[in-house]
Amino acid sequence: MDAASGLCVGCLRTLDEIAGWAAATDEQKRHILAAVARRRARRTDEPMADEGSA
Amino acid sequence: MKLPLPPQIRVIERGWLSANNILFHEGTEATLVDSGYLTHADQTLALVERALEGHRLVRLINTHSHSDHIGGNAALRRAHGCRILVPEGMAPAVADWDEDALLLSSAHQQAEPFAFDATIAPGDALEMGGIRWQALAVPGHDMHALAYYAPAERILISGDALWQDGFGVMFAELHGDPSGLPAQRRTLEMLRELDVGVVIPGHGAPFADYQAAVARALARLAAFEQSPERMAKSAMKALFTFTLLEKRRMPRAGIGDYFGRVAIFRDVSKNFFHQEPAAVAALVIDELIRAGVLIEQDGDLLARGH
Repeated sequence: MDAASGLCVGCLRTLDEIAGWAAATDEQKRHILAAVARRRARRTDEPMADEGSA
Repeated sequence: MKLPLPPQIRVIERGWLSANNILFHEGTEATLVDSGYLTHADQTLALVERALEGHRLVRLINTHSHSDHIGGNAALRRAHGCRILVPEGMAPAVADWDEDALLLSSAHQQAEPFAFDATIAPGDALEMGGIRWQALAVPGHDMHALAYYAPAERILISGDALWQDGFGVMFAELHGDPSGLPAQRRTLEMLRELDVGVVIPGHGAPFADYQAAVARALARLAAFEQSPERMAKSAMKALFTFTLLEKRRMPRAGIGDYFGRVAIFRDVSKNFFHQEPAAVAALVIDELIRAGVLIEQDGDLLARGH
């Protein structure tokens, strides 16, 4: 997890989003994936965090 | 779709680098099945802490010894003081921390040594979440793997022996032991006879279409039996994707050398493809990029999504 953003550095989801994934509806999963796509787009110009903890 | 699992069972669905974690509330205590990959250990601790909801983690049980299932064992034991129970077949490799037998060194993967308190044998009965489970031998992907089956509730914890679409890599075959595919066939034919309503797999969401999943797995196995090359190519793609999920990104220009250095890639290139590791690396990368699994960015390869 990235301490500053609170996101998993691999999948760009918050802990809440990961914890709730198995119980989420398809609609909720689509919402999360759309948010992940926005986060990924925002980060493309930034260097990727490189610490081991994903 | 949310499947009807008993409320005391919490499935923490992870990705491919970490296997799913299955938490059972038991009065004031709790039991966990499988612990994810080492580099995810902090995330695993946080997810388990949240799912515990104040229960005390007293037991951790593994389905098999692979790095994506045992990587959080040491950290969970440090944090919770839980007992650890492992399938008896994997116990010697864990006790001696044999990085070859645990497939760590040969696949360039990591795990942290851990101590265990007891072993589980095929046929053993155990209780998790107030439910009676039978330990079933499910050799194939891992020759010592166990699945856990609750006949009354019709739930199967399948590990990597059966997924909704397939099963885990046939490591024994890749390492030159021809008993892997026949074992996986016996395992799937045994599983086919079970009455199962919901499967909680090692990776992917819990699913209900049990007989269809077993049929898909048997069809894939038949294809592998007919064509070892196909099995090997499928395995190389899965293993290299796992590698990239772990390393996050790797310079594309160095992958050929990497395949030459890491035993499983080098040996499978030689024994199944009869080609130089670099040539196999190029083939694997091309197919994974075309399938949208990997992307190239500034000369580096990255795995897409999680």
